[in-house]
Amino acid sequence: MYTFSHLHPLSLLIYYVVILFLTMFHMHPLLLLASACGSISFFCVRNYRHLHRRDLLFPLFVAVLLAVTNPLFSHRGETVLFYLNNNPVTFEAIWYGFAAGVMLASVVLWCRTLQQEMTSDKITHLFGRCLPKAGMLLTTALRFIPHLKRQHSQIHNTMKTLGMYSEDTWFSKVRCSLQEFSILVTDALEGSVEIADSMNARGYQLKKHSHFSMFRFRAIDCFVLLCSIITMILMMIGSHADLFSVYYYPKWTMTRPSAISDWLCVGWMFLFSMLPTLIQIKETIKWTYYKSKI
Amino acid sequence: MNTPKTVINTKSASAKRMLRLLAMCILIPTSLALGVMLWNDRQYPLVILIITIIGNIPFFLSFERGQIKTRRIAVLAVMIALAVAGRFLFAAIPGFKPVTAIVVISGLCLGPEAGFMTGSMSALLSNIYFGQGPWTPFQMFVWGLIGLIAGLLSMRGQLTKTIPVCLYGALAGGIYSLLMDIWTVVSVDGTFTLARYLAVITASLPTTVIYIISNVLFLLLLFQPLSKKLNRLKTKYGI
Repeated sequence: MYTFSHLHPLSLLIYYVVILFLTMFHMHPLLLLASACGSISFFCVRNYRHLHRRDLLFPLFVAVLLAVTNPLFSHRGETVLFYLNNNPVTFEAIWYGFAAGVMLASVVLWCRTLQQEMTSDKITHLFGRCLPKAGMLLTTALRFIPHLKRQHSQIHNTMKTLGMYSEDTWFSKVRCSLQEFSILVTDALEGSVEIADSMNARGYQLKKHSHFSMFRFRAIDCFVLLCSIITMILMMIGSHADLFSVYYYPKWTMTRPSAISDWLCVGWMFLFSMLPTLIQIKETIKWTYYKSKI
Repeated sequence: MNTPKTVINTKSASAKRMLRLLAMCILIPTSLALGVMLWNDRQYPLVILIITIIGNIPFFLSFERGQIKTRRIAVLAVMIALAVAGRFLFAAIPGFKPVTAIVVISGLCLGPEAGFMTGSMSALLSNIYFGQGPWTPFQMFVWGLIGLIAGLLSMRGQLTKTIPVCLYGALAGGIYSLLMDIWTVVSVDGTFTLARYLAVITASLPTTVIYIISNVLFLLLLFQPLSKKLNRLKTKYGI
């Protein structure tokens, strides 16, 4: 089963860069709708096992919140609806706030799935390839975090056995925990020197390295990468041909797609944002089909 | 020994630093121009994103090129892990985190480059747990700069006593929060509006104050012991 999270880190990263780009730098309602659909559906499909109601209400909440608060900051726009404390509340300001809210909510949802997809092994793989030393720094630090936690609980238990924490005053507690922290740091720093020496002994400083990784660049990775590149080019062309230009102030005007090619372009953007969902659904169907055959 | 040793400022190192600064001075306006030209409507978030990504590059490249000992990498990794683990420990209180304090100490004791790497890597690594996003390069850059400036100041012999270090930490915390608020405003509006900026600053004021207080507190508690340990490590193992 090769779902979206089994993609090669590179195509995953590029996909997210392009989709975030698409969402953040276009305020065209059609593109926002596409991105919002894509982010919500992918989030739901990916986390359908433990989906809360607040996850789904959150985008709506952000959109409404910004629609309500934006007129407080912005009095531009020519369609005045009513006056609040002698300040005009305009239709354009509310509409812009709503659009910005949808944009923000989809960015947040995309980032939440990015958080789930871009696990630490993928990040270290990407870093290790192009920046070996920084990648090594990242991997070592990543390994130290659980180590520090373990070490800390050990030190804490030992200190308790030695009779620290017996006084129940705030001051002594702080003093003990500071002492624990000091022990932890000394231990970690001395240990790091050991690690470095052991790395050198195993030939870390040799010129030639080989990397081991479980990631393979499959056909589907090529496909996703290609789609991302095409989308990027379409966005460039679109911004030059004013395909997605939209003005909220002083009067809301947007270029409506007229020719068939414009509609094709919008359709492509829509499909592109739905790509993770489609891959996920396809793999789930395949999986249940295979399971039903057993 | 209470004061951290100042790192010997060699000519080649300062020349390298000048080159880096020069590269930044050329690259940032170019990217600004590019951002304005490509997207004829001004797209502030894009410009900020490009600037911060480009700003990170020279430091990472010089780290890659330089002759860095394996032991130094390992010590830096410990500092980064401490910063991230500290952020975990106090995750319940928004704004209360020791990251800046540890980045500043790392910059002071191990030099500007180490300070930058600790800052930017802590941002990248802690965002693996707390949420990656378009703000990651921004955070990496700002935290890196906090460490870098601390390192540069300590090279010049300033920032060796606890009180100035705490003042620097407070200042860094305040500036960090103000910069992050700029990002928040720009990512909502696409442009910078003063009214919304002021609103965001007011809304985040409690977090900012907690953040500044936590910086001062952590520096007060950690600066002397940690710098003592790091200096001991430097003399013992020659890092």
